[in-house]
Amino acid sequence: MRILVVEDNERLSSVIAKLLADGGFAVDVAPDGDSALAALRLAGYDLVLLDLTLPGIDGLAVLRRMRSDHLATPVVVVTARSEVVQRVQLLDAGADDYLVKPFSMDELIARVRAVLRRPAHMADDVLSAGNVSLETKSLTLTIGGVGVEASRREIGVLETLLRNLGRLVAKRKLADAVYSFDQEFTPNAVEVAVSRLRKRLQAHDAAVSITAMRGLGYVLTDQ
Amino acid sequence: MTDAAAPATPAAPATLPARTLQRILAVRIVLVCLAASVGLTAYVGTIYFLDVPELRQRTLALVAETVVDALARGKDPGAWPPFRAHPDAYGARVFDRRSVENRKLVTEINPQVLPPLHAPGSAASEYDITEGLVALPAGSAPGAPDRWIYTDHFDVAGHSYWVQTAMIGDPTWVWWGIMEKEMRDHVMVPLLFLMPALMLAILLTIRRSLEPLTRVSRRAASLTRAIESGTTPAPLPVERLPAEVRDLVVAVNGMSASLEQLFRRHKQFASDVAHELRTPLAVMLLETGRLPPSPERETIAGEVQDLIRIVNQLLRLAQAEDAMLRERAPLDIVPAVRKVCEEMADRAMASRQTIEFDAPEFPVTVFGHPTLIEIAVTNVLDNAIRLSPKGSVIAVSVGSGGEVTVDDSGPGIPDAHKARIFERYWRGDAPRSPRGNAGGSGIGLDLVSRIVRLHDGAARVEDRPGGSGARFVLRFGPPDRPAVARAARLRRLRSPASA
Repeated sequence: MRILVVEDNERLSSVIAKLLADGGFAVDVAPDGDSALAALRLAGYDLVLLDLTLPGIDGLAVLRRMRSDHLATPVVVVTARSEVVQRVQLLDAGADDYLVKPFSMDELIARVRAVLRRPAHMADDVLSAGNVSLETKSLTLTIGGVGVEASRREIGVLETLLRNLGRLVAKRKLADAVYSFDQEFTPNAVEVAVSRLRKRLQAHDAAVSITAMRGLGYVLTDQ
Repeated sequence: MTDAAAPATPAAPATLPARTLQRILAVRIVLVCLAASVGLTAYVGTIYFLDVPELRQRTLALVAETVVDALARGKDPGAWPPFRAHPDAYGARVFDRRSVENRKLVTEINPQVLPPLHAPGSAASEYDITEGLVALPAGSAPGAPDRWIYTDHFDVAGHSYWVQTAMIGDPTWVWWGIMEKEMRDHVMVPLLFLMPALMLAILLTIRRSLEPLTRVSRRAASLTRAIESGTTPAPLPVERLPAEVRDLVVAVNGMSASLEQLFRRHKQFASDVAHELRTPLAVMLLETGRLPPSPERETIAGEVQDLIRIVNQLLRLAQAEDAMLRERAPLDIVPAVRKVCEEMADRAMASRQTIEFDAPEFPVTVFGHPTLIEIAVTNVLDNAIRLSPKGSVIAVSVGSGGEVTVDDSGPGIPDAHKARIFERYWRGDAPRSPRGNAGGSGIGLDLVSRIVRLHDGAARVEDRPGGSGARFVLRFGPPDRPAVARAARLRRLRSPASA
């Protein structure tokens, strides 16, 4: 996996490059927008880590240029500003995710992995965490290498949770996943599906767990 | 307990209600007009009083008219009280109008006051029947008072008569009647008509002249409000102002513009600094993560976390000050608080903490600004996550009256500090953080209390019921809203389903 880090602060770009290299990625660094666009034209990257405040062409312009050139490389924007308006603007401009400075090493790696895990950007369409993996096309679930049967609702919940590993998934998002499989309405369908999935994961010694945050949603964490 | 959240703004200086310039001018001008009327009356009176022959003539003419009036109505002219009361002071006689030689005396009252009448046919004396006013001594003794004689002719019932009146002194002040009449006819009545018109004209003139000033002063209030809330103040209108006021208004406009610019630069500065700090903080955070584990690394990592928190709080402060300028509107706070909980959930997960969120299923409408409410709840939740132990539960709930409650499992707040915890830069002596460092900048809870006050609400802290920890209650809106009763009813109705 090759990542382009676009960051004008040399110290920050070097530490990010080192961390990503430690995480097994090949990393190139571009200090400004022009060199970033040049690098993108020359080599194929699996992900771009794009700082917004750059000398010359700024990050948002780079992102827009990439998208207008039909360059589909996933982009994680790094910003020092956390205003909601800006986040919405970024996602609208075609960013896949964002990181607000300052971020920890775990956050950086998790966000990069989460974006790379998205099927649109992956060859094998497999979502995995711990010893759990889910084939998103055939919807086959394996825990510790063993195939496990699960209901479509449970698979739907697990898929959504896997795509947001380590992050809270709001209940309404899970409800969308559950109801996309059938139209039958039951108010506690999400709770039922999660509770069944939890039992199933436990029964097969899965190395992941689902934490409930009452009134908010669920988080899948790998141990 | 809500004392902590009581407004800390200084009370308005206790001044007497200022009177308007318009009123001051009106009152003073009315007083000046009244004084002028009195002065005019006195002046006219003095003129009359000093012109003795004129006053005497008018007095005697009045006496003559009284006599003629009595004759015309067939009454006894001698019945007039002054004739009776002062037979030695007032007198009158009436002739049939003929030549002096052929005149015929019609009536005579108090003849001793009058000059002696010459017998018919004898030569007439010079005062005998001279038309007009004559003054001659009343007696031969020196210093005797003047005797005034007045002769005039009148027509009564188609006949012409000569009337001669005389008086020595004026013991019953008949002249006063003259004065009264003169005053009434020539001073009082004109003034009575003139004064209201004049005053009305003056009042209208004052009002009209002060209108631009009134307009400016009305707008000045909005200027102060704009500067207080940080919005761009509209300059005061300068057109049609008198020169001296215009200079003042131009100066005020200049001052408010530079004040506003200063505020904006100050806010921008805080925001810029906080943003600039984020990149070096990111480097520090990532580099410490790469250090081999050691107590020193933990210390540095802790300090970096504190710095990040302070920078985040500064940013929220700048953001809140920006949001405070915007108009508030009715909004449902449940989604706003839920959004904060969702955003903070990842932070809580990092310490294996969970957040529980409880809210009514109906909208809880408050009059406010979503960004501000989010910032206030974020600050309180941020503290709760930081101070609660690993693996604990932080409970957030929204009450139907618009209050947000955050229960943490931290060390709690000692009673002595509960009242002061919302003050700016106040951090307490006792370390709250498990690391032995409060780590607070002292601006977070101050901002919280400012925000709830802006929403006519209050913030308070108490012990978490049934467990260790603190409970922060933020009420966004005035207390005792009628929604509470409705909410309780709804909850009863729903309770079997929501178990």
